[in-house]
Amino acid sequence: MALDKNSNSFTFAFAAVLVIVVGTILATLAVVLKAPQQANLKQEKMKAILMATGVMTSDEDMSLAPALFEKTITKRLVVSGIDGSIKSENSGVIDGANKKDAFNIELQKVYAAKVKPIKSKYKKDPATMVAKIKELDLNWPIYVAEVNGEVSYIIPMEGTGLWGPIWGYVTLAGDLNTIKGVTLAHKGETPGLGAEISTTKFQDQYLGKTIYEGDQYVSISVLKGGGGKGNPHAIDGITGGTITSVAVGEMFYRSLDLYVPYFNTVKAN
Amino acid sequence: MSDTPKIEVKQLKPKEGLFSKKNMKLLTNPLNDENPITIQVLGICSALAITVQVKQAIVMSLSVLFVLIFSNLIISLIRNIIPGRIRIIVQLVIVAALVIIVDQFLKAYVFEISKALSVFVGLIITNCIIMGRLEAFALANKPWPSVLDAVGNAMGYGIILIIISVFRELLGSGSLMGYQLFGDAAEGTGLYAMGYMNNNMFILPPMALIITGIIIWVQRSRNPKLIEKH
Repeated sequence: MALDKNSNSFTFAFAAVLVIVVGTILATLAVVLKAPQQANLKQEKMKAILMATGVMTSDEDMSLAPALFEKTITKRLVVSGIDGSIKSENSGVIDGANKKDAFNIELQKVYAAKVKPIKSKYKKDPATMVAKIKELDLNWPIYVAEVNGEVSYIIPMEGTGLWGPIWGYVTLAGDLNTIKGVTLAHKGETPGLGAEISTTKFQDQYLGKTIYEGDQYVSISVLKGGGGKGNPHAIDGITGGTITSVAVGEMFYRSLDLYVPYFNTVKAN
Repeated sequence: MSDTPKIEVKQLKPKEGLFSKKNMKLLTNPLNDENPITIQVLGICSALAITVQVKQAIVMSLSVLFVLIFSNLIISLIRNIIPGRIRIIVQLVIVAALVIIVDQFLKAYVFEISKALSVFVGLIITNCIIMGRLEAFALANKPWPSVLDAVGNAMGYGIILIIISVFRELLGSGSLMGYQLFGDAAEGTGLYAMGYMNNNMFILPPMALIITGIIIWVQRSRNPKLIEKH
């Protein structure tokens, strides 16, 4: 062969051509497959929300989610953390292009960009932290569901566990106090320890707990032993998964507090 | 009559058949005598991680089959122009590209399985079986034998994966391919009503290693070629 395979110029040229060819193929593929992939993510989100209401279970196929979602979720609201006013209200078919739709708000991104810095600044003082987050006047999504004539409210949550993000949905009954369902998920908590938060055994502890003591918002803490028998505002943590357990408690306190002004406006009516 | 000599010349060079004995050996050897998992002990990481359910094991095996066939084929096709100094990087780029293609397709069409496989599809890039076959075979052989070698090795990998996953899913979750065979564990019907319990140990990775060990034991005791003489 006349071409010197081991010359520098051939090596560079070969590498350049290879990378361009591979890059073009992968870029084309990414564009082509974007639509079905996003549809999947949408269905997964719907399923997670429906699981919190108890309409779907984890082993059901997520392709059932869109139809059930439309039937169950009557309103998708975006509310203010300051006065609880409703910023946008949608129902029916979800328009992927409508950024004001509660369903299209990517809370994980909002959390990482806006909430996390404040969180690390006011670590010691959760009340001030939530007040500062409220001051940002961000858009907080909440879903109103109707199952067998009973109204419930589904609130998305985002937090940080030991190794990475944790997130979930909590469903409040019509009294905006009693917890009807919780789903929690995590990216990479320790299997057998922190990862237990995504089991039904852990999540079922929340059922029937209340987030108000009288008129005072107290949230649900995660405590050793569940904070004593019959404590309506605490559940039992995970032995060996303390940091994840504490993170779940923090996530509940912070996320639900943002909706307290909205709860007040609903109760006032 | 002038055509006759030409025909004779052709006949002097008998072409090797597509499925000649030598080629078939490439296909069947990795299934037993040179099995990548049980004999060469490669690709153990994924064999432990994604054999909890048969479905996952099958999808994983198919993904490895796809990646191995095409990486072997592509490397074999360009084996004469790959500059020796960057050949490992070239192999990695091609394997990585193929793995990303698989991953994107899984995400688009079998989303829930792709979630269960999580990082392990991406980790096919580092699966020793693939780089091993590229270095040991595709770089020095023609495309067709390389494809056969890839199919053989991927199937050798897949068979072990599926055997392990059958044991783990059956004994660990009481189901096969997601179908509950012994009744509903949560509601306590079927066998569970009689006190049968799923063995949670089978869900955990160490049990996969033990099953692999048992497979190696059985295989070595049955295959005369593998019996070591002391």
